Amino acid sequence: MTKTLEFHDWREVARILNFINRFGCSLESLEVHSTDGLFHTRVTVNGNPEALRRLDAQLTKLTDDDKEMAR
Amino acid sequence: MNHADPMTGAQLILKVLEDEGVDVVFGYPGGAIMPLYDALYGHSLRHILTRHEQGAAFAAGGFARSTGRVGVCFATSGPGATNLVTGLVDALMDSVPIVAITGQVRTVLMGTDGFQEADVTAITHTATKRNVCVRSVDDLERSLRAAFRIARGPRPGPVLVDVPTDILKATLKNPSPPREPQARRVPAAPSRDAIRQAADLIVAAARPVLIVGGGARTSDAVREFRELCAALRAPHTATINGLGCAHPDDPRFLGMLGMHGWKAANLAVAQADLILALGMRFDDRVTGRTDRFAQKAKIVHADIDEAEFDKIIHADVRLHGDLRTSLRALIDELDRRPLPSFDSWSREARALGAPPPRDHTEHSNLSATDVLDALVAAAPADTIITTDVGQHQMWMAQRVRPVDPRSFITSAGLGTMGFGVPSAVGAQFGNPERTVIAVCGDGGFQMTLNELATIRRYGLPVKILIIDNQRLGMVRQWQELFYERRYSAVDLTDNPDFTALAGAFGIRGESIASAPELPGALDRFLRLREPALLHCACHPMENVWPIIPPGGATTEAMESASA
Repeated sequence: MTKTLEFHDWREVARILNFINRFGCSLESLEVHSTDGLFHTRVTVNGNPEALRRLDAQLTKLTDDDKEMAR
Repeated sequence: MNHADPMTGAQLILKVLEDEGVDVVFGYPGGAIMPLYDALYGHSLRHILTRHEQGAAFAAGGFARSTGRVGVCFATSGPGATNLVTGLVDALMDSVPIVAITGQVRTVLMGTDGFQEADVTAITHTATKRNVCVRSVDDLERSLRAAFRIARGPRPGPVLVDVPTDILKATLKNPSPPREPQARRVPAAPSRDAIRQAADLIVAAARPVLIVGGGARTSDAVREFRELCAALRAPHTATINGLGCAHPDDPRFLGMLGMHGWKAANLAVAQADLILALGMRFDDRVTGRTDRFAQKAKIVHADIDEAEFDKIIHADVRLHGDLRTSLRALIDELDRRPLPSFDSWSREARALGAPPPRDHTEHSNLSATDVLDALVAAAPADTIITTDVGQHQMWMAQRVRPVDPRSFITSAGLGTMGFGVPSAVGAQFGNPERTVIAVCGDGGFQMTLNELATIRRYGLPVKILIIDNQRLGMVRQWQELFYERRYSAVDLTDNPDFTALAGAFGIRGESIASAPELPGALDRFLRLREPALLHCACHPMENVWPIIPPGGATTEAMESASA
């Protein structure tokens, strides 16, 4: 699974890694670069479909809360 | 203070707390957070000094669970903050809104292994919905207000704001004027199509069962849930966090679901052709073996958190949104349709099992279940009961008849021993006119008994009932049933004298050990408008029945050791 995400807080990267580990997935690649205070993140993760689905759902929540924190 | 005056970070925190409607905080001071405690001096915000930071976190949780408002706790840096962690995870698991504010070492010392420095935001990364270390006083207000918004929802939870000492001391040149708390973010409403699909399944069903969870408490959907139950006249059950959502006298309420749930509830779910799962998350203690859970049923799952859909059990229809909104839309949709009668199925479901059986071990000791039956019968109807974790918690959950879901407060998801007494402290501050009773086991009580001092100091009329079986009872029960009676590290026969202990804290205590003593002791205990402790020396080998064996299906409940 490859996800492209945008965050205001670069520490979200640590949260992503925690979730990948917790759901028993593995990290294939992670790229982060910053533009105008936004952190553009592209992450590719391997894992079983169920775990990836749960991870995907958590990443959506992560993005929502990041937006709220930056409001 | 004139709003044109310079304001320190510490003063700003208190201003924001006032704006957010906070009138009580639970905490424990220390070096790094001293500027905040200095700002508190003479301030109108009420600070409750607990005797341990974990007590402050649990008290904030008890306050939040019983009132629906955000619970707030303070702690200093390092050990103060790390002592909050269990309370934060506990709140995260049960979706309880807490804002924790911790002191941090000065910014120049961060990363130097300074005295009482801990990387608190790293430690609490997975213990909170969100955390932040504020590096500039100019960011403080925005961070605090965001913390309250995020704590409140859409799915509530704990948020931690870590503030270095120098930020607490720094002055803000242009503090903002007072303002109202910002509204909880508007939750999504389910689509009309989803509501219609759910209604289609209901009118086509022959054996529907409603399962309500803690989401109904969070979204204040109790009235709508009861309205739906009344409209459908269908059997319904609850997770432990959903207890109190159903009307306690509704004959179609089947009792609690799950590992120690009522037999009728578990078997009705197994036989159902439709499950309406409302604000619940299919915890493993509820489902047992997932491949055998409600095998014959279509599932309609309503939840505010999209991540809960299909996490454990596949949903045929998802109602994504605030539960109250979802239920209102569903009720309105069903109003337009002729509904089948589920009366016959309701009677059939009710007849699937009797209430949880007593333990039939022969003994002459006081029975824990007799004590708790008597407590439920004698306590005022609107009593708030908190529990610790273990056998007494399950016995209580099987029997309690809360008037609403904020009247039964228990650590459900994390299962945290030591929760009972400090959460009762928070619940009593949130509900000063109501009777609050902490029902504890002897093990859990000893984890946080230091909060007796808090109860005494503030004259809280909290009642503490200890079910003392001189064992870590639930672990002992599992060792008896599933580990060939190899009793390992569960013996508490050297327990202290609990009434003497209460006396040492200035709290009236009484101890009983036989059934004839129970009515009088309970009456004296409940009549007191001051703190009281009732110690009940119970049979050490009494078990919780039924129990679904670990890895078992909900249809495989054991009702005795020989079953």
